[in-house]
Amino acid sequence: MANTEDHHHEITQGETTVQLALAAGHHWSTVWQHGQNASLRHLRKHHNVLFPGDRLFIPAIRPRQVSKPTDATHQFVRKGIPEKFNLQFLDYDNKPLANAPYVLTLDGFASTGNLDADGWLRVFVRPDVRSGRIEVGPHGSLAACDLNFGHLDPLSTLTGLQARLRNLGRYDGPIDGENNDLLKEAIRAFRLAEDLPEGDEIDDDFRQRLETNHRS
Amino acid sequence: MPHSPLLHAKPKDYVFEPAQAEQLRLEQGAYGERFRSPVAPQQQALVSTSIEQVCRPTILLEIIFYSKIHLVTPEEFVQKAKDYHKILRDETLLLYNDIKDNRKIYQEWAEPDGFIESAVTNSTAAFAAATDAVVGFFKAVKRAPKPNINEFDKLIERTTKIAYDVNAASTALTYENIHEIGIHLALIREDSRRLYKAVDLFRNRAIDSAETITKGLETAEGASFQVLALVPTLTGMDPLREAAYRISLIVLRAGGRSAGAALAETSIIRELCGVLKADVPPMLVEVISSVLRGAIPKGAGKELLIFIVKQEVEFLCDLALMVNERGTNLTEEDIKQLGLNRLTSCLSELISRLLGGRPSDTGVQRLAKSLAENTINTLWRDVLTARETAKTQGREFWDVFLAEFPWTIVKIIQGTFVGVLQRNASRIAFEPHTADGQQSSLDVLKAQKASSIFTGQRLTQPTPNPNSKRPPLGPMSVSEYRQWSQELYLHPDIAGQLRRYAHDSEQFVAFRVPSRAMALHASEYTKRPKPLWLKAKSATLGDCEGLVTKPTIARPIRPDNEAAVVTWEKSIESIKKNGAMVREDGVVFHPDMLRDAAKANPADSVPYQRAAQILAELQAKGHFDLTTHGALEALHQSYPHEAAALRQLLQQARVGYYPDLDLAEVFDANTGDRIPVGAGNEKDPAELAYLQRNRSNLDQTVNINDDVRNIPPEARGPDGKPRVSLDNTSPHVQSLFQHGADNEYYKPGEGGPIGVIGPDGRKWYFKNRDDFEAGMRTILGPKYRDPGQRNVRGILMTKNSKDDPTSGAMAKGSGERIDTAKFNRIRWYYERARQDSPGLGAPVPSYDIWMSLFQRGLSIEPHCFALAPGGRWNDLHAILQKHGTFAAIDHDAKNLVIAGATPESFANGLARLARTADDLGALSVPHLTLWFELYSSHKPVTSDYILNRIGGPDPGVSSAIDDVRSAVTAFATKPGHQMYAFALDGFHPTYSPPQPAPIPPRPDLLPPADRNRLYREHTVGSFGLQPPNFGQVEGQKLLAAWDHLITRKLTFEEVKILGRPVAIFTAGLAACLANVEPMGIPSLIQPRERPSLLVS
Repeated sequence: MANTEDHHHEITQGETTVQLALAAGHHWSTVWQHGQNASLRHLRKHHNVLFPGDRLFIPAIRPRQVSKPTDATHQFVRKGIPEKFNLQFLDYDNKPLANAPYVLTLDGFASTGNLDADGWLRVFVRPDVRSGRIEVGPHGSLAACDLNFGHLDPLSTLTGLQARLRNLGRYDGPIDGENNDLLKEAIRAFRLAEDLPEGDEIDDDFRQRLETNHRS
Repeated sequence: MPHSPLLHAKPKDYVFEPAQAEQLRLEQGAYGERFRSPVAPQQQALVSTSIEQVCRPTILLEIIFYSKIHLVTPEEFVQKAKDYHKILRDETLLLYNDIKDNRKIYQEWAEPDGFIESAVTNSTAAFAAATDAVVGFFKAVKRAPKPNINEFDKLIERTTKIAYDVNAASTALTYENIHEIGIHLALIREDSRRLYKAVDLFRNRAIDSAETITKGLETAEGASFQVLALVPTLTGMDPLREAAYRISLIVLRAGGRSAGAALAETSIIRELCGVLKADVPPMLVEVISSVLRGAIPKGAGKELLIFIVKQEVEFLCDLALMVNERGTNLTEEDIKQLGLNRLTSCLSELISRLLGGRPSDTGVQRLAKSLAENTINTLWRDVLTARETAKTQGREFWDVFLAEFPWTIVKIIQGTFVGVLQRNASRIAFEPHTADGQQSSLDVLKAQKASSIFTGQRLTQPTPNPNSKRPPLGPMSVSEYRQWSQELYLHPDIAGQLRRYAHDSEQFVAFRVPSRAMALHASEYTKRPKPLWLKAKSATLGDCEGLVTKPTIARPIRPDNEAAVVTWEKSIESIKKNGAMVREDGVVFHPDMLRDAAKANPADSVPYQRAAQILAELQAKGHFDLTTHGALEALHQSYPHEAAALRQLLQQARVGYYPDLDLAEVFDANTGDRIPVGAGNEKDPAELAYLQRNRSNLDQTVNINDDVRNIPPEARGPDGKPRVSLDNTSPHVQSLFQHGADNEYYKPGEGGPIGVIGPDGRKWYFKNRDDFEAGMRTILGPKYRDPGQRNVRGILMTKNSKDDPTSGAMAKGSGERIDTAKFNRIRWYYERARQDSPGLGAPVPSYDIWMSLFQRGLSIEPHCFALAPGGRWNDLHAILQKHGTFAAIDHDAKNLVIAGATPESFANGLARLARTADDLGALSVPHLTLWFELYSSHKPVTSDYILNRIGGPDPGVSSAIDDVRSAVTAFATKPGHQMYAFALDGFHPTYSPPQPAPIPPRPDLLPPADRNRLYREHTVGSFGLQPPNFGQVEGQKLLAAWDHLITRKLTFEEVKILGRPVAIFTAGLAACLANVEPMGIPSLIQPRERPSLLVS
């Protein structure tokens, strides 16, 4: 559908600014930096970490005219493609899985490579990638998990907390935004490991440590 | 005391440092995750592009109980925090009790005042000479350096504090609380171990010092005395109670008891059972042998015992698992699968060693079967009781069952070992056991009674018999048995008992030589000697010869048939009253004999039971004689569909009453006096016979497993002990003496042949009374008197006479003493019991491997190998040396067994077998069956993830075995999997020697076929001529545990070399195999002589 009119889009789970901008024919910054999105920018720190229900203003496509001579070849580059995907793999003792081989499958297409010396997977992906799977080590013996792109919610939300704790191996329960016993236990364990005061309170210190550990 | 390790000890010997948390080396328990895995395969990472994020494996929480780490997910923790808390609460209480109990035991050492009193009262009251030494010993104990008893109090205090913490934690089930409690308990347990170690050191030194005393006691009393009375007192514990206690500790160590109950995890139960299977048998055999001492064979026999105990423990574990999973709906097939047959054949081996004879002998097999069934009954009852108790009390089945587990095992051991030995002891007064005449098995019976486990109270020691000065009577040889059987028509059992009876009572026993068919009937388990109420005559003619039979005019049963008919008429009422019946062919029998037949023939149990039921119902209607038309008609009318089958079954059943043994006269060997043995009245001195007969009448069955306390009052002597044998399956002499010589007194020139047995074990045969008198005149010499002059001396078979196996007529035993070395050995067994211990144990000696091949009739002779076409056998020797393996072939060159030990690892052992097979070129030989056997003193240990794991998790499959990767299935590459471990589960047949054809019966031993319907039923096997039945030889089945790299799921596959399975033998089984009766022996190599048989 051609994006001919300005409109607000209500975010659903799994959607990111990059995906929506690509679909609307914009560079993600065109959308994110739009004046109509100032309040959202204030609320969410990162354009790809939104929360279902957020309203993102997507301006209509404005045709742009560029004069070029005929009988010549001209190159146009679409900005914002591809996206970069950064994921660090740590082992149980928090040590990176340095230089480990991996197989990354995105939307059915597999690619192989090695993690870097710090255990980072740094690859370019299509902005609209929605799911994938990564296996690190022979037969995934070091790590193997499914990837759900765009599903990481903001840190300020309970689902965001749950997702980060799960990524850190601290939480194995559902991502439902409920402050259930499992989440409390995970918070308590995390606070204990981070030398924070005991308890299951979600305070600023906790969020800060969680962000530091998760890198986002 | 010349040198006292007790007094020369230094106080610092008993000091230990408290454990620190970082020093704990906790094993991984059965519950929870296998290991700290990488990112879980099912994990989903929630990510986004253009930001950085981290992915870490799911954290696993460490829950510690029973000093083991269990890795659980946070989710699992939240779900089961209450269970963990319950486990820790139980553990705290158990630990508390354990320390308190140990404190109590140690207190007797540290402050031995009450101890002295008990020891003096129990042990040395009658031995004043030894009292001083004992008192001196305890004084030394008091003043010697010793561990501080306050250390126990400290531990108790710490445990109490933890108990408070556990209670407090019930309202705050946080991971930190649970984790911390587990750590504290592990620390206390570690400290208690260190303290117990110090106490053990002290105890051992004290026992060393006590040896001088026990030596002194030994000279003053039988060895059983000091072992049974003093040593248990010294160690503060009854040996069998100690066995149960040690089993309890192993159960605790396995972490299974409460954990299994709380979590009801099969994995934990498996771990528990595995630890029990691996660790309990050796320890138990050590402890039991310390009680039973000289009665248990040493050397390879001990391995056999371990194997048998292992079978029983396995049986118990598997039965409980099965009942837990499936309830009580188990079929006979299920029981068979559990290893009943294997247990039976093992018991046959044990019994033949303890009681003599061959394992294939009818009597031995009968007893083994009876023991196995009794064992199963005991287990079955315990399992069902546990189930019921769990149901009524609202507890978990395992909680109840495991609490009783140690005692159940001890009960089984009682049923097996003590049961066999008790049987042996009951024969002591009649049959010899050892060549030197020692009666150590009687000690065993006393050992059992002295144990407070079985009686609830410790009985006083009997007074030694001062008259045991006579030279001992040696055992009867097989040829003697045969001779007696030929000449006197005595069944071997009866002959042996009579001979022993005559020896022990110093009498000449004269008896009417029985019908020669009696010997055959007496070996039938389901047939019984003629009871007192049965006055009818037995047949000496026709198909029913040797059995009490209804005589008719048309079908005479004896030459004096008319008199027999008259007697029969008088007997009818008694027959009816006592529930006996008459078969269609006239044989008198009791329906309960069919129930016995059902026990003896499990495969036909149902029809036999049904037949007994129908006959009982028929009796109720007033019919007892199936030779009458009325009874048969009633049978067909009431059971139209079953009558025909019943009649056929009944006609084939081996039931009936064989005749009693009629005494002619009994003389006192020292005086020549004639001794009356009663007129058959209930209250006369033949009472023993009467009581025994009552039991034979099946209304008061007392079997070998029955508690002494359950013996009917009339069978007890004044001291409460049974005065007669507990045996109801063996025809004892007393049971054959229906009436004494007074009634059967021979008139001159009257009667048939008479047999006489003398006190020196000799026998005589006299054609008639006159010959008998003449012969006795010669034998007795000046002591002989004419029949009219023989005075009556009085009563012989009174209470506590020598025929009573429980009387004091025992020789002094000189069995093995419990010394420090023995205690150390027991402790060594206990201490080495470590779960998941790596390695393969001690290598199996080459000799054992060779013997297991040779004694199954296999050969390494080149000419045997040359029989196999196409092979390259010439360099056989070089090949075997190169690979360190063994190979042997049968005489038909149809089976080749390649065997090897496992000095390095199982993988290497398998590789060497495969390489040997390859070098031998066996693949190219047609019609040659390959068998692979691996021998190892491995120590299978359990974890939840695999069955019985061998060695550590590393299977040792290295690149060095690439050359046999295609030959050995476990070495093959399996996509997505890795070999995780070798494991054992179940059994697998390996090469078994062919079953030899039975030797036909000797015509000179048996009546012609046309006269004796038993001709086809009996062979001379009862006399030891039957070739042994080897049955199927089985090894344990080797499995490869494959680990799926993604899902971490384990799968098990049987390991095969060149498509053939591999059988694993432990050293113990190898020792058993070495006992296989040799057959087809290679010409140059003669196996050493050993008792026969193995397992089937």
